[in-house]
Amino acid sequence: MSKRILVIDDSASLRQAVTIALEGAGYEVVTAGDGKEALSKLDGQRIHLAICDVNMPVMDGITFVAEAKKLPNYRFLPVIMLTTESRESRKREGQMAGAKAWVVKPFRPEQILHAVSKLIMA
Amino acid sequence: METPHTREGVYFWYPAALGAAGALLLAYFSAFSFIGWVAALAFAGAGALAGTHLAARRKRTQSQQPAAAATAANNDELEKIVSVSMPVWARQIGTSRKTGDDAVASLTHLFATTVSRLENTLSASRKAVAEISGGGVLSALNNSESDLQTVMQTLRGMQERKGVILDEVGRYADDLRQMASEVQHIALQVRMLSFNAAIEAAHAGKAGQGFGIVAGEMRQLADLSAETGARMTKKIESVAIIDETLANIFKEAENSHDADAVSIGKADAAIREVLDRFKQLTATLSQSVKVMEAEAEQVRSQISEAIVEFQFQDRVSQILAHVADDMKTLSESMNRQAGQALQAEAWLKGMVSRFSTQEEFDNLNGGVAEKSAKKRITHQHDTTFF
Repeated sequence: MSKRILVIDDSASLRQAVTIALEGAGYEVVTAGDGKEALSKLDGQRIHLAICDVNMPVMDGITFVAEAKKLPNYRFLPVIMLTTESRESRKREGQMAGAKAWVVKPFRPEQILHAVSKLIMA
Repeated sequence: METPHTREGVYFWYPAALGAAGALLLAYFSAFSFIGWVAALAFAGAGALAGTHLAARRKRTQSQQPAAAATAANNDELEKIVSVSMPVWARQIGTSRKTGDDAVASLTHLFATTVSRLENTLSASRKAVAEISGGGVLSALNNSESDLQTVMQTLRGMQERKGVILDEVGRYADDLRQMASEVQHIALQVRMLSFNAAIEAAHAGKAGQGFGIVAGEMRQLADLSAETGARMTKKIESVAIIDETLANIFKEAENSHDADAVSIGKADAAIREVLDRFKQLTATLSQSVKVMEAEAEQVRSQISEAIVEFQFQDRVSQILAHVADDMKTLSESMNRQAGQALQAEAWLKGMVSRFSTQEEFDNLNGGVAEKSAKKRITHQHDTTFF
């Protein structure tokens, strides 16, 4: 059974670009447009890894990571932040919230696949 | 009503008059001495100079007053223009951003569908070639060729044996014919001998009676032999007829044998041709799939590049969103209630806090807007693991 990855970004084209890269490598992909929608997607299905934008409406990525980690089944959910932000201060915020990696856009497909293969839950 | 000239005159004459009065007092109290007069003149000169300076300053101030009033009036108008235009500009930017986002989202969706179809096509081709070359059709092809060779060998063997049989039957008939001829010849010789013996027996008289009996017996034997020879000949003739019939049959068989050989040869050639063509076809197919695989690899590389290119829309969209938000915020600030002054520093701090791309920071610091964003960002494929 293929691993399921949750992709969270308010940009439809970005969600599509990440999906192309992941599905090409055999992963199953679920998407959400903001952090709140993403939390609802965690309920009822097994998610093995999340790839999350930082700046989103309704609920931003840093808040999503912090909230997801509070859920009993997702305390150890690996999250990769995928964002245009490159400031060290923001990276530290992500790390403190519980993210496992920080990828600065634009990403190359092989770059995101390398990070996924390194972090995805068994 | 006072005129500017009157006011200007006041600004000159007052200091000048004060200087003159001071000069007279100096001269008086110095008892109109030489030094006193010098000091008085200097004092008067200073007064005149001060008056001139003050008058000139007054003149400058008065000339600036209409410009300042105009500037104030312009500021009011500018405020009105900006407070109305800013929200409109913000909405224009919002519309442009949304149009771009929607178009790129559609493009990436189409792109994703195309990529998926390409992968499916390649997968199907690979599967087909694997079935052909991996032990299915090609194996059956090779087995069929082997079976065909066995069948052809058997048929050729049968043909050769038929020929041998035909030759043996022919030789047997010849041998029989030869033997019958020899028997008849022997019978003839014995008959001749018996006639001679009978003649001699007759010449010998009574002494030859016994010999005559033997000659008679010999003649009977010869007749029997001749009869047997004749019967053999008849048999041989029927055998000859049979042989002739057989020969005809065999000749026909030979002809059909030859025809068979030709047909078998033709069938062999036709089947081999089909098998060779099929092998050629599978070889061509395998080659085409190899070329397709190489092209697919190139396409995958280009897909990877395209995915990077698509992401620039996201950066543009973010920058435009921030500009639109700033315009809206500024417009709201300018429509503030009276008495609430704009706090430029706080406002600018807020603007910077909303930046999310390196381009925005670079533009804030000035000087890098002309560089292609792609050239600055292509090296930026970094991943930080925590």
